[in-house]
Amino acid sequence: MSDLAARPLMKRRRIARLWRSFRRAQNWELSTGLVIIVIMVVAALLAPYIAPYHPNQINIVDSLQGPSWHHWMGTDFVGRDVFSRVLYGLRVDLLVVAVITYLGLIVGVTLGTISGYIGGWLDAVIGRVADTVIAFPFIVLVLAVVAIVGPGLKGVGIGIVIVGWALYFRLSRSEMLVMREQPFIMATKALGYSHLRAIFRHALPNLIRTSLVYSTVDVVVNMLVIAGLSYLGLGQQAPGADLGSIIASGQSYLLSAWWITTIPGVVLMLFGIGVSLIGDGITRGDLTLGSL
Amino acid sequence: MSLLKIENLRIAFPARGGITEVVRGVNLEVHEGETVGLVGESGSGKSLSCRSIIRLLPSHAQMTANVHFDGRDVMALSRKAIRDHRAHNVGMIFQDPFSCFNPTKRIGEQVAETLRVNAGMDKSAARARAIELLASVEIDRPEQRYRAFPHELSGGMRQRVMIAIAISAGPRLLIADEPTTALDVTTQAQILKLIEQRRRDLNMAVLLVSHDFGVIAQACQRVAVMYGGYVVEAGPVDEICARPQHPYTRALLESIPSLESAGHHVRRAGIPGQPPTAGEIGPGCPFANRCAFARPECAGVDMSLEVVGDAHATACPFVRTVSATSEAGGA
Amino acid sequence: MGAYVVRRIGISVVQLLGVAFFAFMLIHFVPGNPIATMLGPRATPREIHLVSARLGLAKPLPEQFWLFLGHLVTFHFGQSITFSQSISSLIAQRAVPSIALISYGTIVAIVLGVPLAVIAALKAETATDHAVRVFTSVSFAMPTFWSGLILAIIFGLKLGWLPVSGYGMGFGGIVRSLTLPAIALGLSLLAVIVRTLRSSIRHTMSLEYVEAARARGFSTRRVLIRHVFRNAVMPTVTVLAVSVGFLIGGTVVLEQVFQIPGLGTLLFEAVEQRDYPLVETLAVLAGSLVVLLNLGTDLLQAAVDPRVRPGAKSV
Repeated sequence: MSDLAARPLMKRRRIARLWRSFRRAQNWELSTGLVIIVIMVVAALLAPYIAPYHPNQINIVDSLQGPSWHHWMGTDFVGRDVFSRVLYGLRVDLLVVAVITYLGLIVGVTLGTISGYIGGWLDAVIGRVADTVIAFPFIVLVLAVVAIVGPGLKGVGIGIVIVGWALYFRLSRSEMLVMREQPFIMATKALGYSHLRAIFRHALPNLIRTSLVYSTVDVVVNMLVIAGLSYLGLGQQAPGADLGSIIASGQSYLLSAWWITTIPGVVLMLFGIGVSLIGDGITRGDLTLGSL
Repeated sequence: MSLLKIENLRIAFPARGGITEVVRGVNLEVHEGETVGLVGESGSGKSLSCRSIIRLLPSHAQMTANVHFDGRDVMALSRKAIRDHRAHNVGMIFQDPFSCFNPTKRIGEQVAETLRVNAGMDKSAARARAIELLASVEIDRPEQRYRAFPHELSGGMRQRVMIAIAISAGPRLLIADEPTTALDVTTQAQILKLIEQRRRDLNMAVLLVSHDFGVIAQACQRVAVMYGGYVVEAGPVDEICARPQHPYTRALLESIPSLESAGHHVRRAGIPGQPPTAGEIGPGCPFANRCAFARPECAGVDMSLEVVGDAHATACPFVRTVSATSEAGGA
Repeated sequence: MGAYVVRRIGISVVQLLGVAFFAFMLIHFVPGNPIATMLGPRATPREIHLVSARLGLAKPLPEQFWLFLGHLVTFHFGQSITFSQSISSLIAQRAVPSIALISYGTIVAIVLGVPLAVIAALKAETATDHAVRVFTSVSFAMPTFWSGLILAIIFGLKLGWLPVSGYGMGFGGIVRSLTLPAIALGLSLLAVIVRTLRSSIRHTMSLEYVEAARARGFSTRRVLIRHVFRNAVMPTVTVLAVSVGFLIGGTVVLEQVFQIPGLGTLLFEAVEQRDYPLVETLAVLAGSLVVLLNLGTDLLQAAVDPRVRPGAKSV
């Protein structure tokens, strides 16, 4: 009898405990964001094993089929499996966005650190170049580069790196200016360490944090730019798929086959939310595009 | 007849797993036209206590009390009525006279704004009166200073302007929350003198809050000593300076550098240890862990004031024995 | 104040020169030959050489840059290769829809964002605040072209309320045809406005002068509007000016989605046709716009906030 009464109570207690542990973790932003991104990255990495069809396999008979057991996310106008295309598209986009964002970060942080440490004319020159690059609207400059290099992810990538390094340069340079005056860096000089050692072994690990935090905003912006240019037909070229080009391919079928356009957009959105949550989790404050 | 009467003031904040009380049953009375001091270390609850008079507490603070101002129940006032109360009955000045000004407006306009909003004056009347007020707090060339921005004035000058704003409506009570802490010693004395002059001219009462017993002793007739959210001792300033009863009051008085010791490098004993944070305070006397005369019974003391002399009361029930020991020790 | 204005304008002039120089140099240090790309794979080296000469690319670099600058300053941008029209007249035709879209999008973002930021700041750390944050995070993470398409499906195709493509005639027609793209654009900007404004309102409300104003008996409304909001709004204006580049990016893509004949479409067509002189000119103009807007906000800030003006004398 007492056993009967105790059961629902125990269950409730267990839920309460779960809830408490969830709340005690405090940083729900970080954990939720990590879960989203890890799932996406794993799915993209395992695309060849998970995808039920080849992404470019045409099957006219099955064109414009809605989501079903066979085609989780339906098929497009030539019968290609949208789920498989989204997986492969995500794979391409994640790879490109990671490479170009962190290439920009490495270039920017390296230049910023050295420039801030050494100062003088080198600092002045790189600083002016960075100011100029930042003045241009991002997409316009990327498009200009695409006009020279020709359409394709290569041009988009080059364009984004040319622009992207500048903000990391600014961030790490200003941190370096502060850091330069701090006792532990002065101490390395007094101890007779070389300049390079002072910069890379002691200052860099401390100042890269700000840039890493900012990269959570940058990754989202870059992802949207890549998707946007692919949507315009200037990024990923047919028949290869990326999320932007899949959205574009569904545009003519908005009413009859909503899934082609809608689903890749939701995936992009989840990526953005996941990364932003991680960023929020790291700072637990307000970091916006404007706080730079 | 008392102008202000606070009874059993309790202020608490929500905290992890419940609430933390930071003011624990404070009683305070201010009579018409007198200057009362409230003294204690930071975190003792003195600033919150004085803000309760105009109900100017952070939105998440929970406050219970009986507060009567001129016979009216302040706790029962509507939002509109509390604004009138702040505008006309009570003026307030703060510790840092720089951050108390809107940095983007000229100081004269900030004085005039108060007059326009609270006294309903039109623009030119407010301007004229603001200049008069600036002159009355001994700011020279008030017409020119009217157009100055806060960052263009010195600290003492800003505090004068703050006083001008606070007294603009001719309040019955002026609350001065650490008005001289951010100022240098000379300016400190001038500001205290100015407050005293204005008090006499306008026949208002002053509640002077400070951590510095020296300032209180100089300016007040009566004083309440606060520690850990309690008033631990209250009474006439002369009486308390001459015969401090609570061990905390004594320690506080001993830590003032006296004039005689100036230049002689006589180090007065500071109070050992740190003041407790509100969360750490349990039942009993909060000063026990720093008190030189602490005994096991201190943990069970209820902190109500007991009369020990003419209008003089203390929360320490062991005063007789404490004084005996200390005199014996001193002898 | 005067000295500050002169100095600040001087900085902007240097920046404008930098923008022109960078756009000019881009063609030389990015791998690939735009003339070869333009003429296609079957072009002979001779043809490439001839076209380069006609575009003035054979002259020494400093001379080319000097000519380029001269053209920019006098607004003679030369002929477009693909449109066989002068670039100035092309830009003049296409500027209005783009400017209208950017302004409309900014207005949408402000109209939605300011109340949300105020509510979130006043109810900070409550469920309302979190809901606003989630909403803005979602709107930030949505690709603008995608949210444009979704809006087009719902309000254009299903409900039939608004047109989904083209650029209407007359004021009413323009407003109707730009509403959906402007909402998509505004949503992408929302997060930046709400987060900046929310945190600056929160910061300002925590300042002592706000408490001092309340102690004087001022109403909450008066304190918020006269003392908090006025001082908290400046960072948001600055951020808005900085975001113009971001908005231009959104416009380029959205004009394609909704087939609006604006500068974004022109840039896209120029890139597709490899009309490099046109691309170059558009890039310089876009960069100059951002530089000038930054100048404008800095001067505005100096006018509003006396502390910014260097050389402000003590009385």
